[in-house]
Amino acid sequence: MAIKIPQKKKKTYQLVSGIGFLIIGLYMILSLKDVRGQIPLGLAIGILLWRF
Amino acid sequence: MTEKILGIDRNWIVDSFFGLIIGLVIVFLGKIFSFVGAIGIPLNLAISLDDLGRFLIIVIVAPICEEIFFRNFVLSFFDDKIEKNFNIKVPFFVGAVLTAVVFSLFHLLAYGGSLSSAGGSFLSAGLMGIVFAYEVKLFKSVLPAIVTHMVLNFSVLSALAVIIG
Repeated sequence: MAIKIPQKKKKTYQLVSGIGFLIIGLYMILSLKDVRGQIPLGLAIGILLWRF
Repeated sequence: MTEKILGIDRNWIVDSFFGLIIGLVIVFLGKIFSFVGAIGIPLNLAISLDDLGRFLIIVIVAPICEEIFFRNFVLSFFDDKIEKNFNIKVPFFVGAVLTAVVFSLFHLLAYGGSLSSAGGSFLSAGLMGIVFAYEVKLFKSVLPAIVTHMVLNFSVLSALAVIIG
């Protein structure tokens, strides 16, 4: 069985998940003062670089 | 070969309804079995829970971006890309478990402290990861998994709000 992401929507999904992780990372670092926020932040940067 | 599409193309009302029902069943099971239900949430217990922004991030933003990333990209990587590029057929269960391990690791590393305090653990997050993967397979959409994830995060957040006040 092969799972496939619709190509038309792939870039939208990348953008949505990238911005979502960016919000979580910034929230954790700036609001919660939790350095572990760099993990979602790094993931967000990775996804957004992959997107563009 | 069956082809599965992981999109939000189907009837979103029906998908959301099934996601809600599955989420409520898991919350109910979580009352009986302690290892079922809770997934880690980005939360610092020292800070009060009366902020709307915090609710939006934990209940709305986190489930959407996590499910889209893990259940779309990571699951399709294990299920489709490995088979296509390395010519190794990976059974769906193996892909689901590997995705769940990555999902669980992310929760443990990123939200670690709050994971244990919110009643979640590596095992419970991994178990839910497998459930989400099968939801995606069953409904051919990530939407039910997003709604279930929202229900679980909301149940944990509301339980903490009651405890902390």
